[in-house]
Amino acid sequence: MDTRHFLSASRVLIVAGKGGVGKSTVAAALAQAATGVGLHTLLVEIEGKNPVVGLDQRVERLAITPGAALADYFDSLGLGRVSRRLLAAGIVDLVASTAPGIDDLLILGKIKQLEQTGGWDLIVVDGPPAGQAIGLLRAPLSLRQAVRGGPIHTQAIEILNMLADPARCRVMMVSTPELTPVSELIDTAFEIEDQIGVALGPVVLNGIDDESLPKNGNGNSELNEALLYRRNRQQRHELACALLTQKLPLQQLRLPRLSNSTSICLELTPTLESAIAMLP
Amino acid sequence: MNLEQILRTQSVVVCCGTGGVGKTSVAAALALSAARIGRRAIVITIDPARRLADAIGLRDEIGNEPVLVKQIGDGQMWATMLDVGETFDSLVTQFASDAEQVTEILNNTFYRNVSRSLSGTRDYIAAERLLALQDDDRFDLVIVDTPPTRSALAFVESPERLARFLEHRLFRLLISPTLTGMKLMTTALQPVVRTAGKIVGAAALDDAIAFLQAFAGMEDGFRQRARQSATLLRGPVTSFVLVASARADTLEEASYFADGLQRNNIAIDLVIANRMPPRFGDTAAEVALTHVQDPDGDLWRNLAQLHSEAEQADAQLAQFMLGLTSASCIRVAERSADIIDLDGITDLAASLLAP
Repeated sequence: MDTRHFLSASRVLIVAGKGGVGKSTVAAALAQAATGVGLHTLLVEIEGKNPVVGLDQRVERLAITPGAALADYFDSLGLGRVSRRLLAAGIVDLVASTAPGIDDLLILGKIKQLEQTGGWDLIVVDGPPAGQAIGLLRAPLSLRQAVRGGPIHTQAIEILNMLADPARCRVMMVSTPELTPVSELIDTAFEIEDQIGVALGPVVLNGIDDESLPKNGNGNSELNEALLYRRNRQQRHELACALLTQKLPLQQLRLPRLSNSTSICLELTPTLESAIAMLP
Repeated sequence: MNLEQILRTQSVVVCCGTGGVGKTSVAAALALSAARIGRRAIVITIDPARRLADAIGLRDEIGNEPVLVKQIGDGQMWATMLDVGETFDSLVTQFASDAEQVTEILNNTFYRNVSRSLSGTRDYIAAERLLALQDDDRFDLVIVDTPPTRSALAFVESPERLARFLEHRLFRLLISPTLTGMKLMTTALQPVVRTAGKIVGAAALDDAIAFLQAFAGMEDGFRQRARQSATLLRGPVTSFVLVASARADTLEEASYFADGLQRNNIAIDLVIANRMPPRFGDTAAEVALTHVQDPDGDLWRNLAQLHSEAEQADAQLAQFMLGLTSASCIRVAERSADIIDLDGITDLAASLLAP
């Protein structure tokens, strides 16, 4: 598939995955690839970590925090002055602790607002660093039920509308090619589709070891053990990929293992592009 | 403190770190190791991968009930999953003044949603559950696998946050029993309530206020528990173990988390560097590379690649440990298979305590 065609299928692309699977790098590489094919792209980072380095200057970036999103939200209700008073009185803290999930809603609300401005062809969201996508995505559903009416209820419904429309929003899940994260991804994928109704894009399998190995070892035990280990690792990756293919009817973008360098995002972008090109 | 000292002397071990580093398996392996040295240890897992849950005998329907996984001499390994709703309900039952109050709260829409489905609740409830298990005579060591959250510190900060909320002047006014309906609107709270109504919606506010008023009388119980949890987490009987893997991005998140703990005056006693790339002999990657033109050059290239991974991981870990001067570090080599059963946990436990 053509990269531009692939990346313009929805305006928002939420990249989700557990910590350590390279989710942020994949998100950055997607934004980079989109910029490369002429899409005006925004990379949204959700608080709490240092941004990926080595990214093309033309990719616009924005870090969203619940606090800043809340202030924006107050402003949009014409409560800017009041909100500063509330903040000072510690009431925002109070509201946030009474209604957990509000922070997730604020972040998604901000993304929805960015999407609606139409200022970008593509908004790539680098999901929460350590959390699971499901919590973030479930928040509007929970709050729609918890809160019977008023602005939060409306906001939750508007976000759910965005999440449910595949032309507006897709989720791309990232995993390493190991059995445990892949099985978790399969469970999460079904939960996301069944409970929240978000469209899922292809699954990214990041870091596949596909180096071709010599068939036989020799008399050197060091070399032989290393070969056995490497073969075993490749077999595990194959098993995990096969499990995913068997259990989850989604396309896959298979990315090879790269050396752990600092410009990993620059290295990843071309491999991502060729994986996209391989999609039917 | 080294791992053995921690397992012998402490009452609580908090396993923290970002997701995807094998934290749940490590927590289970710590419980098993503790059992082996004669302690009665319980591991609380939050949202474990299904196969791992099966491996230690936990199933969805068990809920909060601890399960004895293994008896080793006098030592025991127990496991339990965190059932957020059930734990919250049992707190309500414990602190309510009568059955009527219990029913009223358990049936409140706002309560059901907050206690069942929202992420912030889980952190606090995990801390509460930790406290309950620590008081339980069946166990002398509680090992917590912390919940995956956006902010890794949410778990540590949650009891404090709840206590602050319950002590807040506004909260106390809202639950005051003389405040109802019209009267609420005529108090000094009026402007605040009106603004809050604009923000969250009047109906939502009614639900919340109904909940808060049904809650009246229980806040002291909750507040004391929250304070106790906060104290326990910072106390001398608790150790924090940071589980990390030697990848640049996970170590970066781990540093961020360690800084946050330090701001909360919590020291990390031990770092477990999980899934370290293995070595095969002590040939340096650079040396192996000089052999790639040999007849068996492909084998050397493979060794060079694997050792280069190992060397990079070592360098990153060393860099990371520079920022954690008080912590000791255990390295666990990457395993050839995912941990899916108790044998896997047993192996992991053995490599944790290997010299």
